[in-house]
Amino acid sequence: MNAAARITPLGTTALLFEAPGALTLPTQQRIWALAREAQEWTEVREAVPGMNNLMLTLVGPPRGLQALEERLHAAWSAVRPLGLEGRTVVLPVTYGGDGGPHMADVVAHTGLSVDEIVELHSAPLYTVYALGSHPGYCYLGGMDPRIATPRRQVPVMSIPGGSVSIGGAQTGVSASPGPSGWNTIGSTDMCFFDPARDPPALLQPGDSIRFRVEKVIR
Amino acid sequence: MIEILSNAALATVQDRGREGGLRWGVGNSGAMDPLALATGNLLLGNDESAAAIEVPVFPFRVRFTVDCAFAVTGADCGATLDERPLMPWACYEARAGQVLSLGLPRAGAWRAARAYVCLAGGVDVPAVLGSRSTQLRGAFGGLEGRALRKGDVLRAAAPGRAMRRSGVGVVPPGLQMPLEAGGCAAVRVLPAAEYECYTAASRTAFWRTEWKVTPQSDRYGYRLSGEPALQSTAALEMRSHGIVPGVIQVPPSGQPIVQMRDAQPSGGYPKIGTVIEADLWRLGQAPIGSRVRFIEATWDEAVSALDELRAWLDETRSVLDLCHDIRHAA
Amino acid sequence: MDMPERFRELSSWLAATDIAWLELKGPGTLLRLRRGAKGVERVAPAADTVVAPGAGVAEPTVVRSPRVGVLRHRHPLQEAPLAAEGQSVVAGQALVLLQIGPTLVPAAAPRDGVVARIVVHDGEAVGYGHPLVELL
Repeated sequence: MNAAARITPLGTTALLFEAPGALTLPTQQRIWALAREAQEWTEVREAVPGMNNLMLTLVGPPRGLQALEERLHAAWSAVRPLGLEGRTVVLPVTYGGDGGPHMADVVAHTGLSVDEIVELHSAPLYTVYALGSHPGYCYLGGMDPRIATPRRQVPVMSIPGGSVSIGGAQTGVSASPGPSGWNTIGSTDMCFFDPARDPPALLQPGDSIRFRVEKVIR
Repeated sequence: MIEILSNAALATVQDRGREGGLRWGVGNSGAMDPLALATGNLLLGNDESAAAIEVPVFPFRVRFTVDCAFAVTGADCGATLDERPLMPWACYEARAGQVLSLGLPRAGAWRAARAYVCLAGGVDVPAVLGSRSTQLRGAFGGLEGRALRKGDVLRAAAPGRAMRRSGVGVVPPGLQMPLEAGGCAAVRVLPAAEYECYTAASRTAFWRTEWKVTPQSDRYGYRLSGEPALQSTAALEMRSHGIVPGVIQVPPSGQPIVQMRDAQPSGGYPKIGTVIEADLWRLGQAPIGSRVRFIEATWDEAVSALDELRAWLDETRSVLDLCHDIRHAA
Repeated sequence: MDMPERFRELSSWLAATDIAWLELKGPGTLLRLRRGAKGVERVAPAADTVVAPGAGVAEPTVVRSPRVGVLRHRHPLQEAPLAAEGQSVVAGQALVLLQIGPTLVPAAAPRDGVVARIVVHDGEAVGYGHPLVELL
């Protein structure tokens, strides 16, 4: 770990901590551990993991940042990866068809067949790295790079909740209707977020997702 | 109780915002001009953070179905009660059956885009995850998680509460705490992580340009246009990370987008700076087509600016407390 | 509250200010107090004067300041004054504003009428009861 982590302000509302090096699961496990520790600090409102980074929203901006930054660096040096033994949630997915309007674009970009794409997409056990983007949405790690497809030139105004999509080297499932620049290849019925539930989100960092092939519409 | 008479495009119930939901991907929402919201509430003797109706599109009309005190702050939109003109940024008592009309915002001494209709006790909708703000994506909070429609009926939490004052107004903070750069409305910005990745010419342009608020600007984000487009010195590979309202992202087009209250709580674009929290209300009131400049601030200046807002609200509350038993009908 | 008690209360309040003249009009009643060298005294007949509203009133109604403050002819956000000389106004209509710190309180027309004269300059500080507007 030669390069130092980087801490920068997001206005006076939050600090952004970025771990150095390649994007890896062990680094993410250390981020989870750091989040758990920083969440207890009095200055911190929320410690929110991102992809190998951590945002700390502040209760009120401290007069000077140096002390908090030093504490954060020290905590990062000392922290050990948190192997969260999370749950595994299985999502039944209907690939292709009306729920997967951009499957053809992924085929065109990768040169793979629909069946190959479905197999490569549904094979891994994906780790929930972080939540963000919209209520209940999970950033997943572990997608096979062979099915990576660039984000769309023109984002779609609205894709339904439950849309399974590929954006660059990442995959994810939307939790509610909204715009998206990713390539939607399938759909699932699972409810990822219910404000009346406690906690309201189905998944949290450290959980895992497996996509189960329910149906393939070619 | 009030009944919405207009089609009410884009009007939503908002309070100060929802905190503590980022761990689930739930952003802040909340009023685009939290200062106008707080002042309307102070005029009525409400909690500063009580929910109100944010009105971004005019005209907008509501009918009171019970006697109720109210205040209209934010844009001066020629508000009338049964056609009698009201002072802007003031509280009044409405009788059952009276109609409150907001017209187009006027180009006066302070231009603003949004008005706030505050009610005695605040707008009474259920709090979801600690807030009454409307979370549009995911459809919860506010009134059924959506914009208001003609025919909707909203309750005030304390319509019958005895009012200490009516017909009393406040000089708007936009006049009391003006901020300009070179004659142009301005907001202060703290550089963000990728600031140094922009060319020297781009960084200079960032501070000098009178950025235009394009029509594609709303509660999610303000898309700004200006010349030249901002260029980074190298291609920037970004990982998804948490962001907050005020973050200024630069997409490949080089035209900055300021993330506002309904923005996604995480993003993957490079960030050149963040509008300071204390100035978000100014930007939230910048009309479409207006121009705004960025002023570079230090951490200390940004913190002092928050102190200044707090002091303004405290002083306003103290002086309002002296205005009791003043009753002036519309 | 009966008149002698009202007189005592207002007298002691008036004596503590540097306001020299106070006129208090109510439905059917009028009370005038003056603070002079010998203290506060009542002016005009000892018996309370009954004033018939609007009956053959040749002189204009004087609208007086409801509070201490700085006079504003117009709202700070707006260009047009609230009321101009010669303008017809209705009962309850705000004619001018009194500002203290950030707060604004209107002085309103007590009845329908025409604004004859705005007595005080914009930006002038006035005390409670100070004449502001003459209404015909």
